[in-house]
Amino acid sequence: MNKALTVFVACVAVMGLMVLPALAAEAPVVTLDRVEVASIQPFFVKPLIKDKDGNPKEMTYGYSSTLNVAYVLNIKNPGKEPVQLSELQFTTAFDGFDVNTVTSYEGMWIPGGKTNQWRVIVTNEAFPTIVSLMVGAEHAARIAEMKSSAGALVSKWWNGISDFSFPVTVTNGTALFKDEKGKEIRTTFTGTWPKK
Amino acid sequence: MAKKILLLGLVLGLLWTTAFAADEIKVGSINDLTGATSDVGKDAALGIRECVTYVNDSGGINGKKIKLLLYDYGYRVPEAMTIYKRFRDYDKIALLLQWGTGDTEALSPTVNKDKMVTISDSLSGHLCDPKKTPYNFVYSTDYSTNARAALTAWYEEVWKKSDKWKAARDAGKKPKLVCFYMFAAPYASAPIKAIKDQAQILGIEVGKDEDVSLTALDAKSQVLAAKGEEANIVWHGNTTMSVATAVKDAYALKLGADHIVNNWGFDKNLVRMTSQAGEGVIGAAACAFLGDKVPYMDKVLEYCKKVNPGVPIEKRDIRTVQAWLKVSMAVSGLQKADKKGKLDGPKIKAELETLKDWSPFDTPNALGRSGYTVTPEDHRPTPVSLLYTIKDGKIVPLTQINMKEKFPDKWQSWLGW
Repeated sequence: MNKALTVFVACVAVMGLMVLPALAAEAPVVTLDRVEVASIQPFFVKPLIKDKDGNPKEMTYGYSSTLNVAYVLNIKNPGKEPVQLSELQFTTAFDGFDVNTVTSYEGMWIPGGKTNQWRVIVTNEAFPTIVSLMVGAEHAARIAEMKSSAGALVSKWWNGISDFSFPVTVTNGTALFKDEKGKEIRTTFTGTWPKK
Repeated sequence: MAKKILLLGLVLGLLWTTAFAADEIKVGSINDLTGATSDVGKDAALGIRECVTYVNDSGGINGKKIKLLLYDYGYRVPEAMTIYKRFRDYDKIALLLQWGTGDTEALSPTVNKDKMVTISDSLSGHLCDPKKTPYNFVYSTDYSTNARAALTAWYEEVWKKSDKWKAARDAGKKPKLVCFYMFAAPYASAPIKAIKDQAQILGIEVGKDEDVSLTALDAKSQVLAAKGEEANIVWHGNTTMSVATAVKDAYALKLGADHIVNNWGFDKNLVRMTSQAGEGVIGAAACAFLGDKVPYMDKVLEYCKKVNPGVPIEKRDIRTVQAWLKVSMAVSGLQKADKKGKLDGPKIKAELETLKDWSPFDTPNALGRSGYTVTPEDHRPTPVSLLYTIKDGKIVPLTQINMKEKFPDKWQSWLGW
């Protein structure tokens, strides 16, 4: 009987050891390492397709150029046990104006005590960016104060992004991690590029 | 004996591990974070994730967690279709959450062919007739019912009673309605036929429609046209930014008409942007406003802070609460279908069609809504329209109208408008 009890206690202890690291898991830390221009088309929002007489064709939908921006994040796991990045989302802002919100659902394991890098490429299109600036109440008020226009701002960003002549920020970043037992750990992050 | 106890220990261990690796139920969500309705879309998307987190923290779907896959489609129908196909073919989602009227109506033939239950933020009346769209569901009073109710409330509470219109009433003048909306936007145009029909029922004349863009920064020409029509009441069918532009221009140009607004154009941003011009505007709401004293609002606020601590609470709005209402309805269908052992489209649809006197999270008046009934013949969840008005810079309740009780002989014939 004593032997049986010993075996039972051992089983419970093993289960306990499986759980303990989960209970003690430290929250991973996400930081913005850098921002890169992944690809860019020169700024335009007018139709580039022309008819046989060389005049721009009527478009039923805005034509525009694309700007792909890569956000490289450092994801540090300060704990001893590995954790899996389950999902990650953040809002990107140019000059303090929100321009995009992205979500990444790809899984990635981060060993204990190590830092991985994660590149998220965000596609921005000129015309929809202008539209989103025009419908946002706070955006509209700020643009009016600046005595500028949504189109002028977006043009400035497209032309100035290669020099990072304005701050590119990551806001409201949240990342969801899971440890080996499925316990969820949520962490938040922000960042600005270029770094001061 | 030792062997038995050892076996018990191993079984316990196995159960323990299994509990952590419980199945996930995938739910796909198509949202507008960057497009023409992103002014209201971002808040709604935050709310969806927060409510799903709350549901998962509270035991999920009978112990199974929801895996939410939420993507931006920028209010572009082709992108919504692409995302849906990915959800269907790769992610194998159990249920779809949608956003706009354009994408929901465009995807409707596909989701119905695929037997995919979808609950949309589009409350278009066109999506409520199961004979035409059996797998489409809406989570609040449909636009057409709201439009009819808003016009009725204005007619009864303002036109018939206020001093402002006494001279016109005494002169035997019929009131005149003009509709401001973006003709090309399916959301904005969805309830127009219904509100004009309601005008006819109430004896209100209808003037020429005015095309106002969702991104309008100037609506002076439309306001002047409405002034030429001698409009007494203007229906605004766009979203907040555009509605604010029109209301401000109407004030500046002394249009003199009153304003009634569909639910996506009526929120605290409208109050903020219109200030004095917004006084007296009447608007429909899908549910309680953020911060109202109703059951479950504490959870909404708690999860705003927990899941999106980087977004100040003062920047959040009613769209968050709407998202909770939408997710709670989805969860109800998923839970009931899962309990019966089959989580597929036909089963989820069948369970949603058994909702009777339903309230979010089975709590009366949670999120400000109660008494939903959905049947295989009618997907309009409620005939009750919640109407508010702006008074002294605040949104305050005006009235609630049960359109089924008020127009019992008409209600059934309005299905699918």
